[in-house]
Amino acid sequence: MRGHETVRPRPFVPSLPPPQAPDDALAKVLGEARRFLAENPQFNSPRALVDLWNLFSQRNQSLELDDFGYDSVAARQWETLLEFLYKVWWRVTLGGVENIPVTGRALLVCNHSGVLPFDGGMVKHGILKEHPAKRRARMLILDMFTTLPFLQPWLRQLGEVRACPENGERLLMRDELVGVFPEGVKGVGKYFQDRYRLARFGRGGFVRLALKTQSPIIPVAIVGAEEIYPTIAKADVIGRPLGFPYFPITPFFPALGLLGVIPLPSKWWIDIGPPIFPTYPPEGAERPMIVNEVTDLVRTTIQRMIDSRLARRGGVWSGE
Amino acid sequence: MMKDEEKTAPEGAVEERKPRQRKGGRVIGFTPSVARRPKVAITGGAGFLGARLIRALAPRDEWEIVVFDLAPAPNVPADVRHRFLDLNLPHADGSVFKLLKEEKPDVIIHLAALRSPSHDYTYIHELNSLGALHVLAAAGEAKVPRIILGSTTMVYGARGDNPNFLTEDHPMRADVHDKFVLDFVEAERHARTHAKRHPDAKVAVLRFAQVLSPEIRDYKTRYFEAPAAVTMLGYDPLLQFLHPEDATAAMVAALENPGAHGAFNIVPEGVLPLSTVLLLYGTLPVPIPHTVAYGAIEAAWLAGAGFAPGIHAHYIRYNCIATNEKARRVLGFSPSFSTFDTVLQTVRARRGRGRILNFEAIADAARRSNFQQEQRMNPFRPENTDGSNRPPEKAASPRRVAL
Repeated sequence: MRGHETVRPRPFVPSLPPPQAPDDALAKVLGEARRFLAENPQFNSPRALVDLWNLFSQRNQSLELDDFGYDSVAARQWETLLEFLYKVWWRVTLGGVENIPVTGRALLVCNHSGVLPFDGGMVKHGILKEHPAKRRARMLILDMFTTLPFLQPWLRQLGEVRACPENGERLLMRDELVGVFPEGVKGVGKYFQDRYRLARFGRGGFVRLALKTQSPIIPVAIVGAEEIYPTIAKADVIGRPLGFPYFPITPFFPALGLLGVIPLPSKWWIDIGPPIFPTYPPEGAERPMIVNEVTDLVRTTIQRMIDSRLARRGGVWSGE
Repeated sequence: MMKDEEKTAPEGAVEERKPRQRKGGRVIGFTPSVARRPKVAITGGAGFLGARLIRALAPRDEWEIVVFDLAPAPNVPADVRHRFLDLNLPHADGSVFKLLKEEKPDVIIHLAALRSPSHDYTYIHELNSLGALHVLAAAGEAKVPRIILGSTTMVYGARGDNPNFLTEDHPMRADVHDKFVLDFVEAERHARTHAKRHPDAKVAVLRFAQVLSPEIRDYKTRYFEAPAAVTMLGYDPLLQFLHPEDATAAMVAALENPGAHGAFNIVPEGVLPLSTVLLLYGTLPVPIPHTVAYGAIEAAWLAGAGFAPGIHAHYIRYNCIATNEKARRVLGFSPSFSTFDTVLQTVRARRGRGRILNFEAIADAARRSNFQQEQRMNPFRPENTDGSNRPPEKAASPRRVAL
């Protein structure tokens, strides 16, 4: 019997002090490897070059992903662009950030607009910048985006996850801040003439999620995003074969080609309302009438917030 | 039958060793000093997982082990008996039934399966799908009370609309054209049917994540160890790799849990994207648009140069990661190695000349990553008397640094 291995249960991780260093290990390893190769040219080999290439192409990635694949180093790369869009391009005014709790779970429910989901990025960036606890909301995104090339790894690195009850529940049970757009494709793909009229809020999946996890629902009204791409027509003839849910035609796209893809610089307001706490027990998630009632409550709350902001807003571009 | 055996036995053998009469798997004329131990029959016990399970189980002296396989299990104690079994014969169920009648095991662990796609599709189908069917059929007739079946998390299928963490009640949605994975799905369906037909029997299905270690040579390690690896342009799925020691621990846990019934994901904590795995292996990724990648991989496979059929490339395109919560809760399974640990251990063991990665720095990152994962899993800090998960005031928390 001696000499045979035994399975000894050992703790999952040895106890360690909290990590202090920022997690850009790969950039450091790349620097070391480069210096090493410069000093020792005799180590030049195909394998070394492959290592160097892999390190170079992944220098902006972290090795310390969370289990949903959020990559803090890669996400940091995009903050400059988001900051530009937030501060300069759309001059976002974020109100009511104090309604978001400092810790603990909460479900942000936002209206969806604009052809491309820039609004999610702006809500997330605004909360990250202006909330005292710098909370990083995690947006639940459409299936479509998790299957498209380039978008799949990119959104994963930014910390977004596919919108499905399992993912939402897991994040909320972990006391994270989760953002949803219950309108879905119907919201982003609406015509310019229908702007700021909320579409149907799905089938109340977000309410089931909130009831099940007993999370407060925080209504968020985004005003200004409807004007970034005024959709005057949709060409399903082009969109459907390409696998897109819609193919928008705006005054500038596709007439101006790539220039037409630049979103218009409207003035944005993001209003965060006071949280709506669940008054029903988790079992309410199994009762469609209750779910529908809460869905309707949230929907009318957001519609009212949008209407009141629209009444106060002056010009679309200046906001004065 | 036994008398015939005695007659035909050569004289020399009788002199060397006293003739052992077998009846019902017990040695007659030998009174065991300990009470009868429960008996486990391991099909495929000579395989990688089977042999490891035996080596983990034998020193405990709690189980009597018998191996049903083509060959005896390597490097195992002498009291582990071997009975010849070829599951690839059309009437294998009869052979299994005969063995079960003789051995009367309390548990069967069915691990006889090929875990790499093969060009000999008939062989792999007969073994992976029909083999399980034969074993289950015989176990039903022989009234074996417990069966543990080794499967894979690939049965969920890699799909763009998978949730990030697949639970056991998620349907098995492997691509119907992926025959290699479909055989595992069929084996699981046979197990479900068996559980329906025999309500008293306990059937536990262990869905292992891809097992990775320096000793393993299979299609995925060949893919990673090649000088260049085809990837899907614009896709970078998250992967999970299980350490064999954790796989063994899970099998032992299932064996020692008499009520284990239903499917269990046996997966580690933590994930790694495909790009990072290739970086650690030192493999050059060759991104190909997915529209042509399936065809190219299939062509390479048919030409004998590939590692898997084209349709199997779903697993380098979409996520197929599972959660081990049920196994933790029900079996008490607790993986010792994260995905990062397993990959790093494997890669460092085969690190040859010419690598210029600083593996120490990467190992540090792995430790930090494991630490953060542990904090995510156990967010409640004992130092906070109010039960909140507020970070401690003095020490800098990793989350703050990351922001």
